[in-house]
Amino acid sequence: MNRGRLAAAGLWTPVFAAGFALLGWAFLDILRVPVAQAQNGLGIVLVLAALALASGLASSVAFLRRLGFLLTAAAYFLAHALWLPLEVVPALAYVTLLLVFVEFRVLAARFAPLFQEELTPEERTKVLGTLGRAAVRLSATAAMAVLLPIFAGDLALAGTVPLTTIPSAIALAAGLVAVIVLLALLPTWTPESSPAESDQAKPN
Amino acid sequence: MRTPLAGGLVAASLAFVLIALATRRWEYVLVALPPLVFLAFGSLFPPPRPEVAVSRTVSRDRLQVGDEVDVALGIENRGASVDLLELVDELPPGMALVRGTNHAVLALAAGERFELTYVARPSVKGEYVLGPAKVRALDPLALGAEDATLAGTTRIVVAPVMESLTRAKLGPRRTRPWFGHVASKAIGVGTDFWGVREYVPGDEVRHINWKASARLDRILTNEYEGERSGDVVIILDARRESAIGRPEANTVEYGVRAALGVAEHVLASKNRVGLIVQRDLLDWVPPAFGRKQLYRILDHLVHVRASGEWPHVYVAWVLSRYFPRDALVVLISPLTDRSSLEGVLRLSALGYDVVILSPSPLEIERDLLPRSPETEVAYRILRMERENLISQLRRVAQVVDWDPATPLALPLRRMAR
Repeated sequence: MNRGRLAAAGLWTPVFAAGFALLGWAFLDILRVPVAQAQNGLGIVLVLAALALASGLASSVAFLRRLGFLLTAAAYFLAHALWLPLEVVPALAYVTLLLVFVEFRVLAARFAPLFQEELTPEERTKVLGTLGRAAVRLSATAAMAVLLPIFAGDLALAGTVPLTTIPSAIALAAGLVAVIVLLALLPTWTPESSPAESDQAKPN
Repeated sequence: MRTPLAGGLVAASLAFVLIALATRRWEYVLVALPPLVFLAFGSLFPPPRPEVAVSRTVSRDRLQVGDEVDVALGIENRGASVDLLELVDELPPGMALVRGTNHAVLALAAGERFELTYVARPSVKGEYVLGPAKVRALDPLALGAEDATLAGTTRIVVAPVMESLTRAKLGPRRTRPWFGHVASKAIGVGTDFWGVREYVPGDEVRHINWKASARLDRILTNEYEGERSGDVVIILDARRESAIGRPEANTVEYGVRAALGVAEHVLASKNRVGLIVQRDLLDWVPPAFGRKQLYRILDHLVHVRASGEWPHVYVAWVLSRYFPRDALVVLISPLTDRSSLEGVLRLSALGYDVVILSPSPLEIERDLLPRSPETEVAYRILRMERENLISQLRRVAQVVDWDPATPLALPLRRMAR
C-alpha cells in the first residue's frame, strides 16, 4: 500500500471510529433502560441505524448515511427523554461527537480522494498543511461546543445568568429566530455548482 | 452561500429547544448550544469570494490519439488569504487523467501562487477543450462555500491514428491529363516501356533505342507508357447506425483511420483526393492535390462523430454534381444494412469505379461479447449474411472485408492480387 492510500485510509479511520463510538455509547445507555420492551425497541432502532450508517458510508449513499445518523441520535435521546435522566456533560459530549462525526466525514470525503492521486511533494505538503489547519479548527470548535454550554449551565445554576426567567427565554428564542432569518437570507449552496462533480467533494 | 449542514445545525438546535419546552427540562436548552457554537465558529471564518487568476499551459496543442499531454495549471491568489480552496480543472469527456491530479484542496495566502500539474491522454480523436477551471472557497466546518468559475479554456486537437498503406495498390484506373504515377495505358511521358517506332525529328536522343537501330539499320525510338494522375473520392459512412463498438474503437473510428490512410497514400501518388462524409450533415472536401489537401481532409476527419441518417442517394447526388465523373470512389462503410447495396449499385450505374473498404462490425461485436456457443452461432449466421451481401457487391465493385484487428494494408494487398 503506498503512502497516498495509507493517508486516505487514515482519514477515514476517525470517521468510522466516531461512528462506532456513537453507536456503542447509545447501546450502553439503552442497556440501562429499565423497561424491557423499550430496550428491545430502541435496540432495533440502533441496529437499523448501524446498518444504514455502515452501508451509507461504504456506498457513499447520502440518504442511508443521514438516516443512520438520525436513527442513532434518535435512539440516544429517546432513551434519555423517556426513560433515563439526562446528564448534561455526557449529553453535550454526545451531541458534539455527533457533529464531529459529520465534520470528520466531510473532511475525509474532501481530502481522501486527493491522497489517492499522484501528488508532487509540493502539492502533498500544501494539501497536508490545509488539512492540518482544518483539523485544528475543528478540534477547537468541538472543545468550545462542550465547554461553553457547561460554562453557561454553571452560570445559570449559580444564578449569575438566570435561564428560567421570561426575558432570558425571550432572548434565547430571539437569538434562534435571528440565526434562522440570517440563514434564510443567505443563498443556498447547490450541488450543481460543485467544482468537483464527485459526491466526495461536496460539502455535507 | 450556506450549505445544507448549516440548516441542519439550526434545525437540530431548534429541535432541542422544542424538546426542552415539551419536557420542561432545562438540560435540553444546553444541549441545543453545541450546534449553535459550531454555527458561530463557522460564521467567524466565512469563506471569502475567491479572487484568483488562473493560467493553463499545455505541452502541445496538436497530438494523436494515445499521445499524452502535460498540463500545468497555475493559480494566483489576488484577494485575501483563503484557508480552504478547492480547485478543479475540468477535463472533457474522452480525456483521461494519466498522472498527477486536476483537483486539489489547498490554502493560499494573499498573492501566493501554486501550480497544479497533470498528464492527460485522449482516447478518441476530436477537438477537446480543457477547462474552465472552477474554484470554491470553503469554510473549514463545511457550513459555507463561495464559488467562482474562471475564464480561460485551452483547445487541443487530437488527430486520428493513420492506417499505414505501404505497398498497397490503391489508385485510380482512369486518369486525367496531369502528370502523376498512374499508368495511363497511352503513350506519353513515363518510365514503363511501351514500344518502338521510327525516329522523327524532335525526339529526345536519350530515347533512341541504339541496339534496335543497329540491328535494323534505321533509327528507332523507344516509346513509354504515360504516367498520369487521377481522382479519388473517399466516401465515409459515419451514420449513427454505422457506429458499432466502443466510443474509442468502433467502425466509424476505424473508418476515419482508413480514410486518412487512403488519402495519404493516394495523395503521395500525385493524385487528387476528395472526401464526402455521410453523417448528420453531408459535408465534403473538393478534390485537390498535395500536402495541404491532406491537412484539409484531416481537419474534416477530426470532427467526424457518428450521427445522422443521410441516405446513400444524396451521396450519389453530391458525387455526380460536385465531383469528377471518372473518379475512383472509395466507399468506407461497415455495410450494416442493405441500403449500401442500393447505393453502390446506383454509383456503379452512374459510371463510377467503386472500391469498398468495410471495417467488419462482426469482429468488433464478437470481441465485446463473452464467448459462448450462442454467440458463436449468432456470429456464424451474421457472417453468412455479410458474405452474401459482399458477394452481391462484388458484382459491381471491389470489396475489402477488413478485420480492424489487422492492418488495412494486408487485405488491400490481397485485393490487388
